[in-house]
Amino acid sequence: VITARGGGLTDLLGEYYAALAAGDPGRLPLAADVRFTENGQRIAIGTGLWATADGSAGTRAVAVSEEAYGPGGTAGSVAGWGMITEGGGGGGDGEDGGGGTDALLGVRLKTTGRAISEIETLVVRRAPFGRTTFPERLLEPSAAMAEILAPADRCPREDLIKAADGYLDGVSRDDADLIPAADDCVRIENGLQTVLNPGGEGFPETFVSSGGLGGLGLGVRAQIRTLAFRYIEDIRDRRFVAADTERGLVLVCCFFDHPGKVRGAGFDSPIAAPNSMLIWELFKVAGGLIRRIEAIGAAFPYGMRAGWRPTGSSPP
Amino acid sequence: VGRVSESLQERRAYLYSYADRYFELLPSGGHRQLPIAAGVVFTENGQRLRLGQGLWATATGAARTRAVTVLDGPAGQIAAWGMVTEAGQDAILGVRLKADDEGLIDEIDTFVVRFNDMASTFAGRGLLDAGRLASPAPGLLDLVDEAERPSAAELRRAADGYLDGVSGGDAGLIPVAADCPRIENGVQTVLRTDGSLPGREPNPATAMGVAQQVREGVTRHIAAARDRGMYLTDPSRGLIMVRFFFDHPGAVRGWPGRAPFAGPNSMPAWEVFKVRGGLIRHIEAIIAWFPYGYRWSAGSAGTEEP
Repeated sequence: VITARGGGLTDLLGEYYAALAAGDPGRLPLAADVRFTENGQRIAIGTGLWATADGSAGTRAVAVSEEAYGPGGTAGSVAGWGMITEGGGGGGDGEDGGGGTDALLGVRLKTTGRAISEIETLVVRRAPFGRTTFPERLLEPSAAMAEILAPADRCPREDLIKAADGYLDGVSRDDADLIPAADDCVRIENGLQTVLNPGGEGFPETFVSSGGLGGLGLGVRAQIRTLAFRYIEDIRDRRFVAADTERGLVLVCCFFDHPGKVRGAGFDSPIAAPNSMLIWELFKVAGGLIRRIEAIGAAFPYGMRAGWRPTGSSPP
Repeated sequence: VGRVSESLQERRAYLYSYADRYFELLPSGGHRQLPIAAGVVFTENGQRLRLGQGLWATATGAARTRAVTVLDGPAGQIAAWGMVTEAGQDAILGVRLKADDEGLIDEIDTFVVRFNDMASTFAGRGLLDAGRLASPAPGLLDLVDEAERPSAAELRRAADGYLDGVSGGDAGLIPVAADCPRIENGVQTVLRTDGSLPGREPNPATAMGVAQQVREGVTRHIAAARDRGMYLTDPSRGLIMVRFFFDHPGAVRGWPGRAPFAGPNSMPAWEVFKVRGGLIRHIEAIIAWFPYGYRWSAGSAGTEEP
C-alpha cells in the first residue's frame, strides 16, 4: 500500500525520479500491467530514458496530486516536473563530450492505491527558446504553485477545469475574452517567463517573440489581443489529469497544433514546418481567476497523439 | 506467373506519372487534381492527416525529377523521393501511392525529412546533399539482365539480410558487394575517399564499405531495425524498398560502445536496395530523427488505448 511508504502521492513522484536516476524500476510498486509512455510512444519500462538517465534534481519544480482514499490506500494521480541528466553513464563520446546531458522530465503517475497503473512521461531534451542551457529556476520548487489558498479563494474541481479550458480556448481562437486570467498572471514555459517580462530576462538575444520585440512584456490576455498566437491552429486532446482544490491547481496535458508557414495564411508563423507540441500546463486559480501558469513542452511530428485517450474532465 | 507479373508491371507504368504529378501539384496545394479514390488514407510521418494538411499546406517548391523511384506494378504501388522546399527551406519528400483496380489512389503515405526542425530529436543539423537528390540516382532504374535478375523473394531476403546484419552487428547476414555505395539523404556514407562526412570531423569509418562498417562495430549503437513494412519490389530493375525504424537507445548506462546520441531516438528510414547477381549493389535511403519507439502506423492504427 503506497501510503505506508510515506507521505502519499507527492512522495511517490520523488521516488520515481530517484528510481529513474538509479536505473532501477524494480524499486517502484508497479502494477503487472502498468502502461508506460515516453514522449507519446508506448515502450517497455526499462527502455528509453530508463536506460540512459543517471541523475535527478533533489526536488521537482512543480507537483500536483489528486488523491482519493479507499480500502486499497491512496489512489489517484500525481504529476510534476523537474531536471534530470542522461547519457553520462554510457561510454559515449556523445555530442555532450561524455558527461551527462540535462533534460527536463515531466512524470504523471496514476495509482490504484496498491500499485502504479499508468506512467506517462514527457522528456524535454532541448534547452528552450534557443538557449544552450535549461533555466536554473527548474531546479527549485515553485513556491507560488505550492501555496495553499485561503478557503474563500478556492473553487470546485469543475471550475478549475473551466478556467483552464477557457485559457486554451482563448489561445487557440485568439479571443482574450475567453481567458479568465488576472492582469498580473505570470506564465513560465520550460523555465522562462513568457509574459510580463519586458527585459526578456533569460531569453537569448537571438530570440524573437512572435508578438514582436515587445511581446514578452505584455500580460497573458494582452498578448492574445496582438494576435501573436494565430499560428496555433488548435489545442486538442486535452486531458485534465489532476486537480488540487486546496491549492487551486489543475494540470492539463494537450497538444498545440502548429501547421507551420501555411501558404496564403495572411500572417507569418514563427514556426516554419508543421509540428504538434505536447504541452503539460499547470494553472493556479484563485478567486475565479488564473493567477499563475507553469508549463513544459516539446515539439513532435504534426498530428502526433499522446498514447492516452482524452479523458475530458472525469476525475482520476 | 512471371509473365503475368511482367505484364502487370507494364500496365501499371502509369503510376510513374502519378508520382510526377504529386510533386508537381504539391507547391500549389492542388491535391484535388490527383486521381483520388473516395476514402483515401493519407499519412505524413506516421500520422494520419487530412489530404491537404501538413506539407500540402506549406510546400513552396518541388524538384522536377525524383532521386529514387520504385514501381511495384503487381501491388499497384509506387514509391519515390525527391527534393521539395517548405517555406523556402530544403526538405526531402518520400511518397508511396497505391492505386485501386480503377487506377484511383486510395493510399498515400509520405515521409518528410525536415532540417532544422523543432520536432527532430536530433539536436544537430542532419546532413543533406540536396543537389544529389535533385536528379535521378544514376543507374538505379536500369533493367537487370535476366541472368542476374533476383526474384521478389530474393529481393526481400537481401533487404531483410541488410537490416538484420546492421542491427544485429553481423556482416555475414548482408549480401552486399564490396563496392556498394550507400547514399543517405543524398550523402555517401561508405567508401568515402575524403575521410569524413561533409562538414564533420575526420572519421575513418566513412572510408569503409557497408559490410566492413558492421564488422568494425560502427553500427553498434543501432539496437533494432523495427516496424519493417511497405516492401515494394521491382525484380526487372532489381529494386526493393522497405520502410522501418532504426532504434538508437542512446548512451545507455554501463555500455562501453560509442553512442552518437546521449538520449534515445528512433530513426525513421525509407531504404531502397538494388540487387544484381545475388548481391546488393547500391543503397539509397532517406532518414530523420523521431521519438524513441515511434511507429509508422501510429496515425492509422491508433495508439490511444486507455
